Amino acid sequence: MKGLFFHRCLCLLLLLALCFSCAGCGVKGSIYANYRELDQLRLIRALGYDTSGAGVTLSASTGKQGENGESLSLCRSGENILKAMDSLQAYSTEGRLFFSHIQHVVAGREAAERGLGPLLDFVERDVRTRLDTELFILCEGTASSLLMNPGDDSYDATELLSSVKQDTSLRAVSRVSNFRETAVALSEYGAALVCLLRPVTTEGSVRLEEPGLTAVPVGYAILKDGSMVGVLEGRQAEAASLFLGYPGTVIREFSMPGGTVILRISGTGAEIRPSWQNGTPALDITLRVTTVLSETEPDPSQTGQSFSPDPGALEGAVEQMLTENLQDVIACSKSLDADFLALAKQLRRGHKLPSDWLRNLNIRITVSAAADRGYDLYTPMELKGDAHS
Amino acid sequence: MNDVNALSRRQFTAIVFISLLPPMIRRFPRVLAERAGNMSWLAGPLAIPALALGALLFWLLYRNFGKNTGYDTLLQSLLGPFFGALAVGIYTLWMLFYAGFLLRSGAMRFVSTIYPDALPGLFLLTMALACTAAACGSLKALGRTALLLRPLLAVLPVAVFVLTLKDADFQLLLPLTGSDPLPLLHCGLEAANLFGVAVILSFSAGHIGDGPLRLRDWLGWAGLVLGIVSLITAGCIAMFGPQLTARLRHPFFMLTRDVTILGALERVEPLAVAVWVFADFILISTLLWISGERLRCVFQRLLPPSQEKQSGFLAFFNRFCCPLLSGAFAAAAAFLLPAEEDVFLRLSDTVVPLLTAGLSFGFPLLLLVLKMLRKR
Repeated sequence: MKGLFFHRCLCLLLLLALCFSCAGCGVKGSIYANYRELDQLRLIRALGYDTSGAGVTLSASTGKQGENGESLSLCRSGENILKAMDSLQAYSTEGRLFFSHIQHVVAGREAAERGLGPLLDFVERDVRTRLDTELFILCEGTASSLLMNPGDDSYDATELLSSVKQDTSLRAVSRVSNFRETAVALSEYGAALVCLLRPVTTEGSVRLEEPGLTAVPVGYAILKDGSMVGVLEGRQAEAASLFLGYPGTVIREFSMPGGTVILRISGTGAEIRPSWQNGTPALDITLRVTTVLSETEPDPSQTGQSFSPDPGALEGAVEQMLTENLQDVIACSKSLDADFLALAKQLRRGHKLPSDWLRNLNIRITVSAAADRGYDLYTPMELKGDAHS
Repeated sequence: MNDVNALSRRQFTAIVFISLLPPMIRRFPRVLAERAGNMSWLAGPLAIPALALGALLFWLLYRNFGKNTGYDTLLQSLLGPFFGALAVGIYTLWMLFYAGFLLRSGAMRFVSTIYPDALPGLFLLTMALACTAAACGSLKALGRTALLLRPLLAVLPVAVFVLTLKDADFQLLLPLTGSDPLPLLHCGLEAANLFGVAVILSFSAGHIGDGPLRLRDWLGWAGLVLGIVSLITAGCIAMFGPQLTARLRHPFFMLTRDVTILGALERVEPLAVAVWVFADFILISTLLWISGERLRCVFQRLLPPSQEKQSGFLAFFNRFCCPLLSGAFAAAAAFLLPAEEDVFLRLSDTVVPLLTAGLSFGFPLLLLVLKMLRKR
């Protein structure tokens, strides 16, 4: 009994000693060093990153906090990312900035061309950041101008960037990637594709009390060894998206005998068969796409004749167009010596790639298009005032 | 045998299973990815031949000994009273150093993953006090705790792997080529070396009270450990690629950081790190308990004899001085270990694994040779 009593006393003493180390005594060095009450925090959801010869400029946006909350936007410069963050905190008038909830990072064009290595390193290293934070690059201008000038209070930078992600899931012009995907692509293949945005004014397009800036996805920025070395825009970007199997559809217009057709094209990625010919790598790429007839515009000169495009001719036109677009994309990859399409993944099996494998890579592209359907209309209706009548 | 410290086979295997998790997460999958790149996820299956040889070694060593002989008893009967005691003393010093190393390693894990502004000494002290309190108690209590914690610690890595499946690119696990088998062999040996901790813990095997340990008691849990090694390695490589995995300090907790549960719950890595503290607690407490028992044997002649009607203070002294001494030694070792992370990393990646391999497999091999020579 006495032994049990002493055992219990000992355990109690040890637990009491433990309590001192678990209590909040001493802000410095205790586990409460980074504890804050929730209502004292301002969650930063979007971060802008610009660099110049003088250092780093960070712009931060909280987005709307709560239903009727207001958005807070800040912009400060520093010698490096941490000093810029400290400066942001110093200039914050409302609570403590909380960087652990950043969902989007936008890098300005100059920063991307100088190199995103410091930013990638910071996100990988710091405990506050997550690797699944989305990354965007602007094709012109600075990130701070986008985050600080969204216009009136009807939307803010975080909503804008979230809507870009929704947009790219429907349109194949681009795809939003995160830091993890970018870091993996850079470390495994030396190059990566990042969603490229163009800042545009809302004036004339969106009814707002005060015009501001918004951003539209226009393609991909090509990163090589952490720096932006080129871009894929328009048709090349769409072809790259189809090749890589990204979600979204491509809208293309074709002139056919009798009029113009607008098609929606979608695909599930390319099938790639590698081969080696006398030590030289070769790839046989097959891209299968489906097309849907979305609109027709009969030729005004062909009145009285119905316009029914030939599916075979449509498929041939799509195949030719996409083959040319893909060849342009691969030529871009070869000229930059940047394997942003991750072709090395297919060739590494059982072979060691020579240093100039990309430039010497032989590629045969086959596109197979299937005219799937034409929505709910087999033939266009003849209406008064129409070209048909 | 004192009933208070009697373990069941299930409790013993639970302690061993949980105790393999801290050394696993300290080095894997970073070290495996450094060695074998995208094929490092095969480390689990590749460890099986080495483990089979290890199992054969210990089966031959323990042959002709009574059921559930502790490793200390084996040492003393093979090496004699003097050299046996010396060997037990070396193992005890190793256990105290290893417990201190684990205290330091766990504290640094907290600081590098969750509390960058905190001091590691705080976590070190807290854990040392908690484990010392547990070491003052009964081994059976540790066994029961291990049984309770085992399902949680077994499910956590699997759950994290499943939650990351949607974003994983399994093409990063390929290609599988046999052109250079040495790195793969190295990975297999690294995974097998994890079980060196089980050899150290077999000092407490003499307290198993419900029958001899059988192979089938081990197979399932050993297989689960190897499965977890392969699973977390495959998960990290499929998410980060082999090169980034090799650069990250704690790839598994980085994997957990990006997990979002049902789109609502984020940043669950503090939860995963906190759950892993239970594994540290079981391993360090068991090491301190075993060390306390060994110290009691060493100081037995100096301690007053234990009697039923002994006064309170003497009974207290007899019972608790050795576990408290173990805790104090381990905490001192932890505080004296180098604070610089790169030096500690070199210690963690080279010295500790080599000593574990030497004491857990190399020395028993010498004992087996000695046993065979004696038979002749």
